[in-house]
Amino acid sequence: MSEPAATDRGTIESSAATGPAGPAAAAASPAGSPGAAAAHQVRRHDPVPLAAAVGITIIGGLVLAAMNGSYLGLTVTTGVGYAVVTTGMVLQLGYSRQLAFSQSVFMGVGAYGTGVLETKYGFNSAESLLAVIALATVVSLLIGAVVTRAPGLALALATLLLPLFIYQLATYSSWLGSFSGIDGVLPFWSGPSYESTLVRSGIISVLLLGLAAGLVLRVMRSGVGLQLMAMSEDERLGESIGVSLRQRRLEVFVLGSVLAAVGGAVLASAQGLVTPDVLSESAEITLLLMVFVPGRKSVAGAIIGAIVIEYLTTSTSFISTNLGIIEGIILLLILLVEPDGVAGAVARLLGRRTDRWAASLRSWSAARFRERGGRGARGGGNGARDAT
Amino acid sequence: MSEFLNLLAAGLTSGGIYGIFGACLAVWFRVCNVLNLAVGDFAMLGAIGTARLVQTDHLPFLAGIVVDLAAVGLIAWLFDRLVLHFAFDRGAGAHGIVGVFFYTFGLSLILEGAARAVFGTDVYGAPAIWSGPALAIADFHVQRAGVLVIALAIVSGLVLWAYLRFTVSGRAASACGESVLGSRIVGIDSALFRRRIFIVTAVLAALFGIVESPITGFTYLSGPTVSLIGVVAAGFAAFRRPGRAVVAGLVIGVAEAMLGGYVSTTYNDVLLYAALFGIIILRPEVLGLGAEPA
Amino acid sequence: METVPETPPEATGAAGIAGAGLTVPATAADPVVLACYGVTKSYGGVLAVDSVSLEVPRRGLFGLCGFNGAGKSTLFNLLAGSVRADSGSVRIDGRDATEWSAMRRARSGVARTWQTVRLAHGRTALDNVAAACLRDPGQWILGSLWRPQAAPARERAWAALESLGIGHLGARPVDGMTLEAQRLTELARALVGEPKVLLADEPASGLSATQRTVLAEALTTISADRAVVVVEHDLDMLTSISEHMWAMVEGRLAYSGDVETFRSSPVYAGLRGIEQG
Repeated sequence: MSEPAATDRGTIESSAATGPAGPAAAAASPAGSPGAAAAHQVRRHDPVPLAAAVGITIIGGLVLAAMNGSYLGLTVTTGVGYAVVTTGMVLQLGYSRQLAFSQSVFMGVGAYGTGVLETKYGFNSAESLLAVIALATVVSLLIGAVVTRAPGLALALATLLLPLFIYQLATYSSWLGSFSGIDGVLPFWSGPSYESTLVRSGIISVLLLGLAAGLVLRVMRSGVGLQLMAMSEDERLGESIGVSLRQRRLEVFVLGSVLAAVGGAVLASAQGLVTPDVLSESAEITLLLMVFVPGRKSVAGAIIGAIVIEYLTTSTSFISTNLGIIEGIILLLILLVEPDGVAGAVARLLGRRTDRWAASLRSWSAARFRERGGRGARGGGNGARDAT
Repeated sequence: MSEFLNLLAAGLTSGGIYGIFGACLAVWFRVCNVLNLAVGDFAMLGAIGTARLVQTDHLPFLAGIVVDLAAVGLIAWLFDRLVLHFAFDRGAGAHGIVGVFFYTFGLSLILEGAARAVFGTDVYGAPAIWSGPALAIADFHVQRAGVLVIALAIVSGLVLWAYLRFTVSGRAASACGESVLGSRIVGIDSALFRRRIFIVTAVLAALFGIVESPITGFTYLSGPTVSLIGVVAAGFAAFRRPGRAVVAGLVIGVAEAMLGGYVSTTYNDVLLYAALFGIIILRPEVLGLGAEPA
Repeated sequence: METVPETPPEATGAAGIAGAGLTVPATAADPVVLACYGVTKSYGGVLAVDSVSLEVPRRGLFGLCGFNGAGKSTLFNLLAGSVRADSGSVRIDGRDATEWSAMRRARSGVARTWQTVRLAHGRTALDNVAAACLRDPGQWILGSLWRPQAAPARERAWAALESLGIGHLGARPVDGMTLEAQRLTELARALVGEPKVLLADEPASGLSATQRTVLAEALTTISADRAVVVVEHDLDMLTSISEHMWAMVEGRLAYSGDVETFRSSPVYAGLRGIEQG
């Protein structure tokens, strides 16, 4: 057998798009690829991340304004702090399946960093936030470079140990305030009264949450997100399609850790103080429950879950005393029945209905675009089925 | 010298606990590839339950132990039937590395919460099985309970090792962990082994709690930290070898005591955990795991 | 049977190939795109691949066969980089790729499919294929904020799925697909990045006769633009589409030559004997 026959070549020639013409297409049409590709149009601009960021900020801002600095508002703001952390955990644990239990430690880095910089070095809240982000980036890069080389089980075990000794270090350190922690952390944005300060700081917190959610959604829905999907399923597979495992593991670890630190800063500002509890194993356990119960792949779930669980923890005494048992039972139920959590169950139940809603929403917005003469008005799906 | 020996004795005693938890974890992981993160809580139930039965409800000591161990066995059996059965025999639910940790983690939360509700937040210590003052050999002082702990740890480790190595039943149990499908094909009931070993290791942990608690009191929260070190000890035994896990646990215990005696009493745990963290990360081969593909 | 040297040839041009006594006939005016020289791999005491040398020319369809356990999949793993050889060397486009990771080899144009289909569950065929064709796979994670790459990747993925005739399944989750559709999806994923060489590990396994014919046509068409090495047990199918055959027995390369001669070789007889039971 020698060179391919000329006739074969004829059908092989294809447009710039790619690819060999296949068996079915070869017989069917010489136009092969171009016509076929036109039938599946891909939306160039993905509005979801930005819409989520804006939506969260606006809705959250309105809700906090309505609560007007009440205790409920404070609880919600604390919940927002946890939500920033859990948003990062959705990317790290849920989507990329990197089982690291170091988020409470980085939450502590953010909280303590904020506390130390503001009370001992006179930073204002904007400066301390930026500094904490930088600090968390550097620390997580250093730790991550070593830690992400270890295979999954080793990473999980080692990071389980991390809160143990970091917590002890913090409680023994007088510079960090030992058991009482650090007092006098500044709110993000001061106002004329206690209530307005809470509301304003809450709005900043919600803004940060919106940014975090937008960031995570953008990553999950991008090409990098597709790579993460592939490598989290099967690392050999990821390698074979050109994904750099080492790079992605490190990036996911750093991103999750930095978001945890931002969450810690929000917590510290909201409460005005930092205590070692933020670094403890039980904090990590709470975070895990906030992620797994609502659905570890769902950003919306992680946000709602964090706020709801935080509310339950501080509310009626029956629930908060027995929170451990309740959480344990719910966790087991989730694991057995719906590993994708409440969000997964909701998605399954609503299923078709949400697809239809989404489709009609898309065609409505496409029609609006066309009306305004906008470019890029394309119908059709892009095949993506990420949960938001 | 005597200080060294006393530290050694204290270290071996706490190390005995780590070791036996490690052995329980290693044996069960070997059979079904799940980590029992609730092993410390079973010990806690053993200690506190017996203390309550004997001291508050005034049961005779032996009866109290028996009732308590039976209750622990029952709890373990229930957990297997209600949760693990559905997870692993019916194929429902989350698997992979999440399954390795989170099922027993949920159990741990429930046990702690229940213990808090029933027993409150007090510190409990079961009465000593072998009571009397500390034994003195020359300048070497060791608690009698400590001797029991170490002896039991070594004996249990040996028995588990021998079971896995030399008995047909033990080898069948190992086969379950290595290949679920394969073992089923040759007629090994992996669900049965999983349940039995779970119950046995739970009861064993409870027994150790009873023996240990005269030395260190137990609260409802005592479980997790010890479980974690047990996991580490099992890790150093590649999650498969109970004998090696006992040795690893003893070494960790002694290291902890030595660090406390010679380096720093406040920071000894910090140093220990940091060292363990370092070893796991930098030398994951110790856990029987290879380095990841780059 | 002519042999490929244990050590790589000095020159990689056509003259060098001729001088090195390349086994592949006339179409190999093309230079070699992928080659291994003296690669060996053992697991424990078992020698899975024993000093195998072969050269894959730039274009064409080549078959690799052998009994189960002969080392074919291990050889693929060695070529693709998911396993490191104990000794010997691997070359891609003339460059020494022995120390390269699987990821680097993938980015250098070595694509593969697997014996058991490896697809991301719960995701659509489109997403599975799109993951493999980012223009910039090494983009750092925050780069995805302003340049997400998802849309162009999905466009390329649609085209790849269409070209294999499964465009209508693109939006469907892979879990519910038939085995044939899954294998074609995997094939689309392997091809979408426009690889230089495709290593297909038992792509027809589990497919019916009709499906195999379709697959055979696809592979033939694909091989016009690149090198395709196929591992298969179905000797009829393999010999009908291959230009050149390799056969492995117990880790060693027992045959390397054209298809006609292969059909009359003792190795072929042995394999057929097993096939016919």
